[in-house]
Amino acid sequence: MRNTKHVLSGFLAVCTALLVFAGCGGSAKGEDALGLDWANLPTPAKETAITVKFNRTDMDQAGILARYKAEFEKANPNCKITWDCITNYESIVMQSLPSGTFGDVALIPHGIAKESLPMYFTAFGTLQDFGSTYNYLDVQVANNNVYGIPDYGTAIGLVYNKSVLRKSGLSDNPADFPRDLKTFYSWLAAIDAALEKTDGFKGAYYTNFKDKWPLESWGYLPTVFAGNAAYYYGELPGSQNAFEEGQPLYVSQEVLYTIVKNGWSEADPSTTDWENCKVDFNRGKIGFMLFGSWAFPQFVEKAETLKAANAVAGDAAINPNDVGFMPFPYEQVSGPNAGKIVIPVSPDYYFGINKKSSADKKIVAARFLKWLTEESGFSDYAGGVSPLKGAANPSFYDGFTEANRVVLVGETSATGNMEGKLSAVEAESSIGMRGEQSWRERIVEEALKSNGQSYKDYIATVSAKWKRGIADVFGN
Amino acid sequence: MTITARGVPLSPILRDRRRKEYLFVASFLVLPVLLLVVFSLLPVLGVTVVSFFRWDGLGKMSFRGFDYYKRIFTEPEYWRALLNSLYYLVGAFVQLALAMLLATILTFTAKGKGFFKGMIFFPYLINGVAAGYMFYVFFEPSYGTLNSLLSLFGGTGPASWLTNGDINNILLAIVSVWRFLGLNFIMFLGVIASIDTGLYEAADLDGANSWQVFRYIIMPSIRPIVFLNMILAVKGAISVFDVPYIITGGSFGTSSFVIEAYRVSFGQNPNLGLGSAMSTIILIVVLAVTGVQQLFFGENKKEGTHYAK
Repeated sequence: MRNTKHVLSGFLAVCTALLVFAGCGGSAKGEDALGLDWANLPTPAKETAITVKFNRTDMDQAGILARYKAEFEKANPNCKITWDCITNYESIVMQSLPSGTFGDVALIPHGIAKESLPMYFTAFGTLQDFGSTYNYLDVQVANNNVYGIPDYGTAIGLVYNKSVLRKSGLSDNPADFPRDLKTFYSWLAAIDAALEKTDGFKGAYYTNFKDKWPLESWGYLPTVFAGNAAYYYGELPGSQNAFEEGQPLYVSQEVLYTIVKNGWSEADPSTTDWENCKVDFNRGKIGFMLFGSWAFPQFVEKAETLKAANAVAGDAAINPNDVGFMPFPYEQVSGPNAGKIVIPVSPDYYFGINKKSSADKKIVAARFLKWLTEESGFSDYAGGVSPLKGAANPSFYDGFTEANRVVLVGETSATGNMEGKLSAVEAESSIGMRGEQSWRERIVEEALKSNGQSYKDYIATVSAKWKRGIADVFGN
Repeated sequence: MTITARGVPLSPILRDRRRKEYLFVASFLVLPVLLLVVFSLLPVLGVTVVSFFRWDGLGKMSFRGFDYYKRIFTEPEYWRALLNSLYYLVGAFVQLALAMLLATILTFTAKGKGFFKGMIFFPYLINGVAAGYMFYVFFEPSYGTLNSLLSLFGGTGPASWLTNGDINNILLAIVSVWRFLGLNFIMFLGVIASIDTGLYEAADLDGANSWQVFRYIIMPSIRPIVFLNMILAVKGAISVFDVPYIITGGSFGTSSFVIEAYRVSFGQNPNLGLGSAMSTIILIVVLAVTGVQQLFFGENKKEGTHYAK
């Protein structure tokens, strides 16, 4: 009896400790607002330096961040910045949130729930104030306050190699691109038939399976199939039948299964290699890859490097202009967007300002973010759409035009009782949409096995978990 | 009243002195006990508590009871990952036998001893990530070492080694054996070297063959180390992580329980409750195994160097 008591009291002590711990970040109550006029930001009274936590170590190494620093400091008196690039960004910054040691400006980690934003970040202003300047703000808004400024938007699409299309007897003119799955499959089959026998051919489609994160792209397709900007955050978390036949989620993920099942993808997904795939792609061994437009500049850059180095016979013939980017071929049959392809544009990250930073630092931070989004050319470099309202699309979005009946939309965040529910259902069901998801990896595994489950049978097990997740989240 | 061993009550002065001695000795324990509590017991308790809640690591917690435990035993991807440990367990016993054999042989061989010792121990010194990457390249079908070797001898390897569900777990277990053989081997080598060489001479005079020397002299002397290694093998098999994580990332049915726990807890949609429940199960299994070990081969039943007849 005494023993039980001891165990119980110990248990309670730990519970309390944990709760206190969990509540730590929230101890400084109240929301913190920037309270600055974004159009006319003040100049800091004395020289002030801020730290910017960032994930692009590649831009750091290429010297681009140093150039940004010099340009920004030249244009903004009394403002100094220091870049702090972190390879393992997401987890490092997540862990430093409660202590507030994430610099003055940081990319808001994807893992943080919207309602927790006011605990760590400064509100820029209301959605109405900022909505006239920026697109895609929706996702990082809490209590109608904007907590994050988007870095750049990326559209989901297929990176393709024009020379591979030509060799396979297909057109590389954006007006002739496929607009439905049937045509897309016939293109894949054509590439496969034409190039199968060539040396080192990888596949008409390349999954990049081994690295896991490339499969995330498939999490952006449900919006393409739904043709509705509110589907992802607003409808999905309440949709019991999301994984049932005919639903946007079901159909979009079936494409992955179909590609692998038909042998149009690489023979050994267990040994794919992201860096190497850029080489293989440019040497004409790969047809398509599903990525956000951020990937495009990297393939072009690799083409230029390979061409210049000319290490292997034929490399000199590589043409950086052969790298193309087309909208995912799925045209809406009915609804307000009938006859059009709806492509979601989503920011990679949002910049937030640490609520613990001093007033002067917040001014520098605001000036920096304004400069970065308006003048730095960052979105162009990164292969994305500028978050500024009315900005032109990047030049390589040649198939993504009104003339081609393609519309770009920013996904809108959930309202009412769906607010914040998507991530709860994802965590509870273990069925997440974006990021590395083992249920999606299993689609490839089942399609690859000779005695694997059919897509329908496999997805039924996923569906059961999804339904349970919704029941758990909305049930209590 | 304090009674001494002989049943005579202590005088008050002696009792006082003894109490001071106790206090003095106990004070030495404060630091280690504190460290143990802060860095082992509290976290373990914390993990156990979290396993009963839904928690994303930052927001609110809500009570779930035994839900997550039920889920682990009812959903195939979790308990199948636990079953994968069996491949590594079998591998670990093969590894023990091999290590024992090699240690015995190298104790009595004069030529090239140092070289072979180094060769066998070397893999253990390689960083786990590097070793994993080595084998990832080894199994790569188009330019990988294994298929290149096969084609050298006129054979053709399969288009993919690691996606084949019939063999991939066995291949990974072999990699694990390759990597950890050296540790077992060096432990056996050390303990065999500590056996009094006079015993071998005596056995030699008595006309014992090498099997008899192994069975009646070496085996009894190294028994405690054998049992220790067995416990480590079980623990290692249950908590296998780096070999499958780096080579296949846990895909194609090669996941392990720890990989699943890691992905659940620190993935895109963290569910620390479920992850903690998985960690708690690992803890319980390891505790149970240690308990069984204590029961059969604990301190009190130390056999050490008594020789079987």
